[in-house]
Amino acid sequence: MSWVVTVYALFFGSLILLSGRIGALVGARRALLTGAGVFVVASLAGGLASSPGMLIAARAFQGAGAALAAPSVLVLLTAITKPGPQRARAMALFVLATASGAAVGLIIGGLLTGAFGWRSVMFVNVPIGVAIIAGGMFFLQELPRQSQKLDAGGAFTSTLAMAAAVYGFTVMADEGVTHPPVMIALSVAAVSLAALIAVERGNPAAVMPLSFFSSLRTAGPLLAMLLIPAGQVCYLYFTTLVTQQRLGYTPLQTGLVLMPYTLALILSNQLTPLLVTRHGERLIGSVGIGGLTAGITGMAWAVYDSTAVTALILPSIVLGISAGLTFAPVTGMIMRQAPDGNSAAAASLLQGLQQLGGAIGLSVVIGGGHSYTGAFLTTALFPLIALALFTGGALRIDPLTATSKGQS
Amino acid sequence: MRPSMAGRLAVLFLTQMMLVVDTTIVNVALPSIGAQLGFSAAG
Repeated sequence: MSWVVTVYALFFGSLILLSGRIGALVGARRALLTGAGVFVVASLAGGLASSPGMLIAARAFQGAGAALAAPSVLVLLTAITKPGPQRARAMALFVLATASGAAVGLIIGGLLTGAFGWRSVMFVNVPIGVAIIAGGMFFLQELPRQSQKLDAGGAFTSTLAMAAAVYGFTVMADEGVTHPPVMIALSVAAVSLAALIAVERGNPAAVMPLSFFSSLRTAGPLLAMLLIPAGQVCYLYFTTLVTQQRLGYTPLQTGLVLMPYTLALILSNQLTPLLVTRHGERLIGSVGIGGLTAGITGMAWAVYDSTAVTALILPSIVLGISAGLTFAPVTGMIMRQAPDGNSAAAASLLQGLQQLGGAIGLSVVIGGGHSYTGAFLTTALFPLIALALFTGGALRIDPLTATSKGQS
Repeated sequence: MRPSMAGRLAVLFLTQMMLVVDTTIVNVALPSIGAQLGFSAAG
């Protein structure tokens, strides 16, 4: 039954690299509108589903539609704004939608299911999707398209690598690394990645341009975006575990314990446009990632020292503030550093790595079989390494204040 | 901010929101989906 949940993430993650490339070829606006259209039809089919298989298939198509639309959101946000305060506000808006979306989904899902039954959580996407398509056709303008053909080898190997990696790490969190399907999936992912690198070498219009990883300037922020979500997902998972298993809380009470984190995140994210404009993406991003490390270490201390729920609140607020400071500047820097014509590939990689990072983080920390304290200390390593990668990459880039005057 | 800019940002915000909301929106509905469509607890 959990496939109803996971198949969406699996299809999204598998297709996200390919869909960025498709968006660059057909145009970001068209990719967004088509993706939203697929999403609407899939949601309608899901709401009408009469069997488990039909619902899972509809969720798969929802994931595919989401993957097709997702890179274009970031590409268009970057294209319609100028670097500086305007861009910083657009990035903060993107982070607001992303960060609050998961919590909003739980709340709306609960309310709709209680009031109208489960089919309504699928049907609700139809009017929203239609509004997006109508609004998109009216407001959005198409961006210049690329003329190079899609390389079939890169498309195949990148999709297979992402599918096998997302599947392998997701199952590994539950079953451990010695579970045969996990070993097979991770081997397939490794071989596909090697094949992808061989196929894409020297290809300037690749599904995954290797030039992103040839310098720390672009690779640092991208790899930080793999590790930061790993830390955040583990924080949410283990905090849920502590409150439900050790303190015996209900899901609703656990949600309330996580509220300070979410609110702090939303509030500090609102301040990032101002802070980034004054102090640059480099400083604010580094402070944010440093705060994530401190907050998760604080969680380890709180669960070691005390069993009171109040002990969890302060580190959670530190984490929320830090997460709010982190995501907009790191996202902005990744998009700004993308080589010309590779904005869609950067958006795809960013979102693909983000999702993969969450799965990798959980599988590593759960697989370690630690105490709660050990789990949080291990989790703190993710933002710590991300801090080194981001700062290392960012030091090779002019701070944002320089770009708002100079490059376009 | 020009009106057209606000319109563009609203469309892109709503799109991102819908895509992320759907990662979790079915979580709470799982028990009632299972009861109605006859899923097994593990499957």
